[in-house]
Amino acid sequence: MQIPVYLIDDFKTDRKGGSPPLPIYLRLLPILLYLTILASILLNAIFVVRLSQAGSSQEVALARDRSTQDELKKAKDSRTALEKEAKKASDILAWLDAARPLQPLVVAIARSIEPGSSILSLRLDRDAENPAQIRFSIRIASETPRQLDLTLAKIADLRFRAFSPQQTAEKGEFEYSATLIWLDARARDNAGTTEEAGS
Amino acid sequence: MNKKHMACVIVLILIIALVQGTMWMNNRMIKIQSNAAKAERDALSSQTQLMLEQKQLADLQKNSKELIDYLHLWEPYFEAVDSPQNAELKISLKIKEDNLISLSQRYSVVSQKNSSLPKLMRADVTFEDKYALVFNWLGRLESELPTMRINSINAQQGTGPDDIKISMTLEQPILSAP
Repeated sequence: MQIPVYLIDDFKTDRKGGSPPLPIYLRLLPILLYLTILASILLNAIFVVRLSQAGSSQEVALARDRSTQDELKKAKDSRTALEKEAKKASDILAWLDAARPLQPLVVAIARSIEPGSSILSLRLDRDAENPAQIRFSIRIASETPRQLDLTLAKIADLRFRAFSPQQTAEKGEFEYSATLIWLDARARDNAGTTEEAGS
Repeated sequence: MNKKHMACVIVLILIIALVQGTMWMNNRMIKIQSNAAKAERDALSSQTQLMLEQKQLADLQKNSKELIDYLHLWEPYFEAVDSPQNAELKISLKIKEDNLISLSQRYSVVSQKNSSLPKLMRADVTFEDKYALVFNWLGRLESELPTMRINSINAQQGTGPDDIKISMTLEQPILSAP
């Protein structure tokens, strides 16, 4: 049996507490969430790989730096030791330069004295500031100045050069003083200076 | 705010949390990469320093070789005199060996500027003997004690015709002074 429409009452009432549908942009939120999850997984995977690579390269670089620092310390220690040794060598060289034997000089002076002349006094003093320089003074009893010239020639033969000479003569006595410098030491110093300037 | 809105807020919080987490991870990666780059730069800098240091060391070795060889040649002679007593003994023995007539002997330890040889034994000695004897003794002394230095000589005529009176200051460096 067919019931006419106008006889039918709609018994369904409006639901209480029903909310209106969300605006369209908020309906996209779940899609955005899924996309964010996917992007996060992808990006974090990339980050983890890069982080791991960076971590290992950092470890390698740190290890290389440590090893280089160790080598650097050893090289610096070696250089310091070498500099110390070179300084010691320079000091010893300076000492030996100033310790050149004086006996040959004294003997040469004594042998230069001719019969009729004599040495009244002879003094050799190393300079306090520069011991390679020798302050020389001699007093000779002689009738002529030839004896002094002869003595000075013998000193020159030993490659000593006299600087700032002073000479006095009085009643058959000749007094002479000068600073003696050994020429070979000067030649070596000059050669060293030239070599340094050249390099 | 209804349940739908609440759900939206929760979804938004989740999205923000994911973005924050990703950004945190990104920042961490950047920091580690920056640290790695810094470590790499430090390693390179150290390498450069090492190369420079090695070059300087090689140059110094080359330049000081002659000097160091000279030191090695002479060091045993300096090491032979390692105390003031030793220095005094060596000089006084040389005087006794030749029976020189000694008028005075005075020994003292003095300091000097040379930093590698800071101390030396200074002997002030005076003899009066035949000049040939004194000069020969002087020559032997200088050859047998090559590190010793005669600082001053003051010679005068002695009492006899062949005699010489000679006062000397001898200086012997002491390598390891007390």
